[in-house]
Amino acid sequence: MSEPILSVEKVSKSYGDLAAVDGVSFTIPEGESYGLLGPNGAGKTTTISMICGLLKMDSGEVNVAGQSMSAHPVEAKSAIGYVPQEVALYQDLTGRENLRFWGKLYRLRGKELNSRVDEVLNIVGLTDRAKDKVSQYSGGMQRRLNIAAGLLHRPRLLVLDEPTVGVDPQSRNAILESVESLKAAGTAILYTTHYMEEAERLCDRVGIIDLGRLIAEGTRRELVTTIGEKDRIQLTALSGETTIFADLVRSIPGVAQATVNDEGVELLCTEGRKLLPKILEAADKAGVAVASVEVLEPDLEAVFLHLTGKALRD
Amino acid sequence: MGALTIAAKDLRLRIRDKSAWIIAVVAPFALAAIISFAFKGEDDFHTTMVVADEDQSEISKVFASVLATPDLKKIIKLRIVESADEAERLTETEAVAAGLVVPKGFGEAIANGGSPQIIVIQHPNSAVAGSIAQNIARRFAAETDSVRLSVATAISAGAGGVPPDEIARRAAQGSIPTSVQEGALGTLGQNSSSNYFGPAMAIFFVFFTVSFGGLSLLQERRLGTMQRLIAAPMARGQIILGKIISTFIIGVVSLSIMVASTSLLLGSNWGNPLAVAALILATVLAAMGIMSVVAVFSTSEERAGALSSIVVLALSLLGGNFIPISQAPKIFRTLALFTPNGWALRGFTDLVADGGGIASVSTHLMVIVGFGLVTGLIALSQTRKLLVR
Repeated sequence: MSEPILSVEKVSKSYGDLAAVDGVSFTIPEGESYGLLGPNGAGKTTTISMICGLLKMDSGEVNVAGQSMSAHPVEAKSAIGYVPQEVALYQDLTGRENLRFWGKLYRLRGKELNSRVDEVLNIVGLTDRAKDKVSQYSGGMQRRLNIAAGLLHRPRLLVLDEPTVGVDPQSRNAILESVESLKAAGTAILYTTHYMEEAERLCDRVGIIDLGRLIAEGTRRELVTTIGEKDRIQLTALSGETTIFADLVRSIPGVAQATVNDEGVELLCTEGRKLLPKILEAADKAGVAVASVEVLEPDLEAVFLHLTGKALRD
Repeated sequence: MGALTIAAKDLRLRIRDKSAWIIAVVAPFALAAIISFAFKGEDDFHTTMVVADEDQSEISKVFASVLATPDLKKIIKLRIVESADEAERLTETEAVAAGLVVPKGFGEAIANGGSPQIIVIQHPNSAVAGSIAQNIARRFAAETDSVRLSVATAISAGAGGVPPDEIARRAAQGSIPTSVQEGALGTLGQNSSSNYFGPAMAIFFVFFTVSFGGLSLLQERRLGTMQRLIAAPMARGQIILGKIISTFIIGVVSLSIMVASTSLLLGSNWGNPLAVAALILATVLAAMGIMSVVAVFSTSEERAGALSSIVVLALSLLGGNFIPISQAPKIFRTLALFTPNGWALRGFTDLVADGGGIASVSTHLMVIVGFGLVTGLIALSQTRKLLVR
């Protein structure tokens, strides 16, 4: 394993009696994309605020590119490209002026500054709108420029704090594609989100955070295996007594769990596809008219549900 | 250097902000022009004064002749009486606006190296005339003392025993009449209204102009750009320094434009350029300090804006930015000394009235800078809370 570009060790932050972040530790090697997945208020933003030097930690240690954020904050910050959750740009400056300003703060000058501004404008697809004031941009364009401002100095670690919150699907896809291209170029990425599908799409490894604590960490496959090799089957009912059906299917060998929900019944079982005939037979016996049956592979949503007992979007 | 980059960005944003131009340049000039024209009739000032020469020396006779020179005669109608009692009676009954009494022994005291005073009698209802009378008396005493020293040196007679008639002769020929005229007329020349309201409005609006510095810190927090600034590889102090630099430049430019525009377009006289420059720098510093305190103790831009308006209006009312402070009751003249704008306005008007240089406003400068340093340090001690997420 290569030298970690980011090392977070037992970082904690409390506000009075409330522990916003409680002993969080993880590392990100050079070139890896790491997702911090958790619901709103889990402690994701507080964690990356301490990583980026915005917030003083109560205890613990953060090292970025070998530099301690506590002892050498300026050097540590030089290695980070920070993209805040909200659009952090000057509305009365043009896109290019904004990028030039942020680039200068990262000590870019002259030709290097100009060429980097052109490059990042190209990466986020805003070259044609570079001379327009940011106030004239759509929300999605502002988000993309927000990311561009974090890329100017070729950071060794790019930190993105929920960059797709409140973005329309088209812009969201454009943002995810930009991040994928950066990942392909070998930039280490720390990505916080509460969208399971974004973490699955972008991240090599995922840390699941809840109530300020990192409760699980690993690749998608590693995390999914923590809940076993079980399939989820969603049976959607048109009519009939779903509670009777649920009682019937629980007696089928291989069915671990049957839960009645708004659409019908959700089953957790081993080798779900093989059990489908028996499940449909039970539905017939219970008088349930079946609209559809869907076999779902285990995902991070299920892992989070399994670990915390609640959904990511709760 | 991060501070310079931040300052340059702030200046660019301010230059593009039309409201900033209105507050910094258009509004103060327009108001100064309007008020100056409204008070223009007041420039054709006439008053009646009484002089009692109880001394009847050669020197005291020169004093009476000074008041009778053509320029002063344009604004002062003079009555000569025999005694101080008569002068006091005429002033009390408001038959005249002010009285000047040259006490017995005045000339002899001058000749022997003393510093006798000309007594000024002033009626509370005639503050302007009283102010002119005081100015004339102060000027005459100072100039007479100066001539005495030069005469004493010339005849090598030491500090005492200078012939009064020689002092009187030199004084009558020399600079006393001219100097006294300039000093007295300086406050009441053809452009006296703009001489007062130019600085008054410039100082009033510079408080609003520099308030953007503190407000922009709150604005950076609201926009989220503060987070990004803090995440940049520089010390947090660079952010504050950048704000200080840009705010100071804008304040100085705003006041300088007012000096230039009122001089060119309203014919205002601001006085010694070096002293004016020093007063501008000190005034901007004090305004920055006070407005920064307002900002750091506010939790939002809206609250800071509202509080700024209250503070600036209160200071301006107390400091005399709306009404010439010399015409206000004594209590207000005293209260004005507790405001930096009061001292600044006094400094600018004294420069014109006295025709002095930077040394003549050194006390004003020290007090104004003192206001700026104390309030600035209070604000700096509180800025940390604005530099956190």
